[in-house]
Amino acid sequence: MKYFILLLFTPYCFAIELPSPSRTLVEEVVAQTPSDPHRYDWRNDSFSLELGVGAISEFNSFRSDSYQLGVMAPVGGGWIMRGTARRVNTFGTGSSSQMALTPYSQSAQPSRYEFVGGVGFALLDGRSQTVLSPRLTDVNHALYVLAGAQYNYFTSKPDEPIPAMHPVYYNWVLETGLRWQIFFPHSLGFGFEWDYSVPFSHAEPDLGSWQRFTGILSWSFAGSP
Amino acid sequence: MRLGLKIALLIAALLGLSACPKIPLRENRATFDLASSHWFELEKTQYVFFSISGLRTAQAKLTWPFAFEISGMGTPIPGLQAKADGFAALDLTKGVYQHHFVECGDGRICGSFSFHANSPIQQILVRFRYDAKSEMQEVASVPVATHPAGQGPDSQSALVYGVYNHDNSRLQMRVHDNFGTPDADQVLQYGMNRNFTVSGIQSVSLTTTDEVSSIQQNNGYYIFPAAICGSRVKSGKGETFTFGGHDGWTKTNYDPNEAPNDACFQAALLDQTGNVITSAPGMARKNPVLAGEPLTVQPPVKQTIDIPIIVSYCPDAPDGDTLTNPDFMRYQKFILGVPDKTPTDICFQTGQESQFRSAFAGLLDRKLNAAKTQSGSLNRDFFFRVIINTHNFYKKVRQFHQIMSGAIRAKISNEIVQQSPRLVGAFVYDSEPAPDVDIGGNVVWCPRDPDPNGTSDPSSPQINCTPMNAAGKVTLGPFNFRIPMGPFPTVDAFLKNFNEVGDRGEMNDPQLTVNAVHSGSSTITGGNGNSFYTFFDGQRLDFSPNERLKLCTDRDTDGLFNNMVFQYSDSSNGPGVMSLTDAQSAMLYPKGDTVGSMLVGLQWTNPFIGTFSYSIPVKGSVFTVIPISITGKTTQKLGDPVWSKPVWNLTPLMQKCVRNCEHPGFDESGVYQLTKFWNSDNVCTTPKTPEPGP
Repeated sequence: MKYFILLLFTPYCFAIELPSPSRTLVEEVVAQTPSDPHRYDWRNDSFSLELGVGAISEFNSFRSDSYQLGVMAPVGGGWIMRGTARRVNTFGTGSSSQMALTPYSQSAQPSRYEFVGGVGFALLDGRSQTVLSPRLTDVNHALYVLAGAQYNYFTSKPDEPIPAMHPVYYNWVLETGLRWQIFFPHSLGFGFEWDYSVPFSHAEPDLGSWQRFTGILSWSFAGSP
Repeated sequence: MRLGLKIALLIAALLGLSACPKIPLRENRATFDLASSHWFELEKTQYVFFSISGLRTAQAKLTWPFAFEISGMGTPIPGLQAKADGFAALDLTKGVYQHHFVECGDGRICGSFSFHANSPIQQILVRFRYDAKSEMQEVASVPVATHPAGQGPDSQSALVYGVYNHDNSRLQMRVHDNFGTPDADQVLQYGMNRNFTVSGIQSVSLTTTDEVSSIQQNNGYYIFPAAICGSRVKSGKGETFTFGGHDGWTKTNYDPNEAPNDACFQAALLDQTGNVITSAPGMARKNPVLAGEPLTVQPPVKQTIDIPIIVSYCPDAPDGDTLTNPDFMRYQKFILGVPDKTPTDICFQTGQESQFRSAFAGLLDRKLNAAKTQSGSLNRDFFFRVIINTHNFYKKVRQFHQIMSGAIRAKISNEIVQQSPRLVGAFVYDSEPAPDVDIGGNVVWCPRDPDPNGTSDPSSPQINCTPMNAAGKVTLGPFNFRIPMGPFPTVDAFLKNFNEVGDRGEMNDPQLTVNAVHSGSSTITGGNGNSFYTFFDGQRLDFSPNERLKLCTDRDTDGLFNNMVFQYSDSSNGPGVMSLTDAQSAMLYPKGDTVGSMLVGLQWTNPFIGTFSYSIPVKGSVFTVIPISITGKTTQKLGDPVWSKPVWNLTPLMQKCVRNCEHPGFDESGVYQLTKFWNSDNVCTTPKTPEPGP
């Protein structure tokens, strides 16, 4: 069964091949292009390095920014392995500052280092081309589903790191997510990742869960042919 | 995986996100844990103390924009401007004294205020605002205590007294904040600072009568107020000095050896601008001057000259060969260190009891006399080592045990009360248990009891060659051998091991050493006739006038004092031999002012101690102490290892006070024990005194 979802973005036209991993349709798409039979496949990489900037949404009155360094490597079929180290900085907001002037506080995770190890699987992948000339892009792309374990390291554990914050110091977290990755020729790549995290332990009151949106710049290193 | 399923999972995840609940708020209400107000009529001043706790960390910072407000419930607070709701912002600069807020613990803010009031404001509220601009607040009702004017200490909010440094050369002024709530030592943390001026400081000597009168008058406050100093302060003379807070050092250096042992002064309480609020006399007492008291005693214990006596059933008598055992005889000699070739001194046989009775007594006399002659001028005491060799005999005839034990006891009883050299005791190594011999405390008879199981269980009393006392068996035995093939089994046990295992149980180098307390002209007999006291030559404690001594039983971990007695060197000063308790009382509270000179002595009942040491190849050295000296009345004393110490260093166990012994002082944590005088108990502390900075 073959399905195509056609998304039109001026001036790009992405053609997504479903399901993965089948090269048949890639070949069809390639066959449809008038020229430049360049063909890039992330499965042939040995690994790629990543830089990322993200924002965490904890459903409270505090703000958290995330900066990460990562490595990702295909391990066969649609599977990848990934490891990431992050610095998360947490800040107060106007809301939390006002709350601090009251007897009330709210649970939040303070600034920390996060270390993630996990796997991913490519749900979708395919190839896109611009229709403009000269062509600015000739890209492959993939949608991964991700899962991993995250360890949090806190340099200190004060009672109230930010006014009105009731700090919650989770050590271990289950992180799941989706990642849309675009592979440009010549190793450069962009990604956008959404994560949904649930702690293994509980606090009172509990954060329950939180999510993270991360933009990623990656550089791939070719594997042996 | 089918795409439809994948998309369904994706949608489910996104739906899950939308279901995430917002994180609820936590409520952290703070509470006032102290709110207290005091009005002092003498000062015409009302004080307010308060503290609020349970604040979040960030809120419990002085930099946080919190606010405290106060209300007199309709009565204006002097110096403060009330708002429409009756509360006035607490402007601390308006206080009679200096005040500031204090971070006084986790999540806690403390504060205080003072205002002038001719009569107390009876209803006061204190309000805390989490934010000065918000309506979020906590309110506390403040109980008010009134302190009417009077002569007693309760009428003053600040009681000033003085203390000295370690050598009494510098004088420190201290303030006892007399509110009760909060405690005196916590008032500073409520952020109140008061200044005091001390003037007319005079060195004086107060008599004990003065002080006792002061204590009674002040109902336990002792020196507050120091009315006895009122007439001794000379205005315009002596140092004048101002300090703030709780304490301050005066500038004057005092001669530590000068005769006056107290100081009087006038102390004035000042408001923020330096005006005198109240003034009262105060006093200071010099610290007790402590010194070490050197005393080292060497218990007059000398090794005894041991006299071996070998007794056996007569081998030539009918059945003599079955009623003795040469192998076990050899073992007995080996254990007691008697040469193997030493001949048997005397033998006995059934039917010749009366002959044996006289012969045995004569043998003891001859042996002792010969030893005395031979020892010449060695001046050492004597000790019998008796070996009795029988086999299958004890159960037939017991009279011989009675004859031998009776003769040994009689001989020792005659000798023990004499001056050295004399016979002090005996160790009898019997072949079989002798439960019904009457041995007394100066004889160790081994084995002692019949073995109910017929075995040589090393933990059973019959193998533990313990002396008997009036209370019965001694469980802490001197010869409590707990090794396989113990060195002192019965002849049955010995033969069982010897025959079955071929093991003689001969450990390496067994040595029985016995020492005895030397008795001389300085030895006297105690009142009950059982105790003896030997006073050490030249060992005495000498006291100058007013000197006192503590025998620090709290430091006496070895129990040395338990064996010591004391006696006035001049018998006209008091009773004869004094126990530790009586001596301590005499040294702390002597009749008159002088203790005089005390002789130091040793108390003992059974005059000898023994040690038995040996080694076995596998287990290494074993050392057993035989504390069969001392009274023998309790198992503890029998086991007292103190007698193995050749020298007793008593210096660390005594604390001498040479001056000001009836004065209070500092404890080991530096707290001035105002109402506890040095001579009020016999606990020896090393005082931690304050010292002025450079």
